[in-house]
Amino acid sequence: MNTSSTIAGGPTPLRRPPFQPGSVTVANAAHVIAIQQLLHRYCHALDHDSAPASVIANMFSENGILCAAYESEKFHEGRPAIEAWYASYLASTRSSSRIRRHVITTSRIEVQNECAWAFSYLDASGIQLKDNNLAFYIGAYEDELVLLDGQWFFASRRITLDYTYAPSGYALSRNGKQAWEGQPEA
Amino acid sequence: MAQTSIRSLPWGPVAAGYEIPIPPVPGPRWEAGEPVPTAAQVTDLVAIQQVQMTYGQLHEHGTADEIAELFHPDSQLFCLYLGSRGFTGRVQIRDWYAWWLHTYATGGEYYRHRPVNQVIDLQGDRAMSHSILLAEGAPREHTHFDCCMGRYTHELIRDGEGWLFFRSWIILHHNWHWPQRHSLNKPVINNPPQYNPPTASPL
Repeated sequence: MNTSSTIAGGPTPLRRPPFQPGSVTVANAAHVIAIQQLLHRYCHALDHDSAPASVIANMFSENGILCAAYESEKFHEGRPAIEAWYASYLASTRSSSRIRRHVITTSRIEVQNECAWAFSYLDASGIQLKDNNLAFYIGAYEDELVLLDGQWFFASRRITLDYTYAPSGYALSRNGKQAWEGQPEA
Repeated sequence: MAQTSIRSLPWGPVAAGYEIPIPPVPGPRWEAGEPVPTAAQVTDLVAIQQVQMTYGQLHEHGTADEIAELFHPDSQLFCLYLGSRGFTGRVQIRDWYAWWLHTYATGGEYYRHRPVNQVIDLQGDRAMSHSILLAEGAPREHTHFDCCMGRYTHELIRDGEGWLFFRSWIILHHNWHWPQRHSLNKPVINNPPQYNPPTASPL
């Protein structure tokens, strides 16, 4: 993408901090919860049918970095570049699938002062419009986070996808045939 | 492969629900950055998380009375897969879950309800909780392993030291089968919960 850049020397692997028993204290439990909320809110925004890309980009710090590693190791730096990437992603995915659900589990979060690191398993799914089949994409989010003025933002997010599968015996329910955002679904 | 869809279940009169107005399903609030909660808010967030986790696990281990206790006496439950019908008050909600538990406990060996991706927006003594619903179970016949995905949207109300569901929307999007061959390391439920007739009149 024109708005993206590649860090000289190629991507730098994110630093995975060692597990520190007792690192979750009463003092930083609030930070862990806020980060959990951020990780989940990102998924809800991504799955929403009409949330603009700016909503997601604003969850990143001003100079945040996004790397969709399943696509390329290119880094998208800064909110404008990140918003452009998500605008393209949302336009593509919204026109090719529906009922998209980004489910994260097993989030490990390490807080160190005003920085944090998180790793979450990702099970993304959606119904492909081309064949009306349900497909799953399994991967992970690896995040660095930063605390700015009392709020947590993504400082960097690296998205990996490891494998995909399509389960058998798939069927839409009554609600699955209708949109969900802001409207009665019955 | 035969499908066991929510639409093909043998709905009883209670399961048909009651004609009540279904409010629009609220969506999450979008934040630019996530504020660090205060100590009091941490307590509320964890308490609300636990209400929903308890609710999920009671589908497997609990009783209808226990589930109904998670709801405010004046609460409303909208099971949107039933159509424009729902349940008002603990009595109707208890009756619905009594039917539900009876139907599933006698029809399957194993089931789990997992609310994930929970986002909670606190507003004083009220809160909105949004999460994805993952549910799965195996019928006694071992023919397949059913999975289901949808959404939970809960409005909660502070009740003393804790929180209760005040308005709940349950949406089911789709279901699918895991591979036909699976093994189950869990004993069959030999004593499914008794089904007590409704204590409130259906439509």
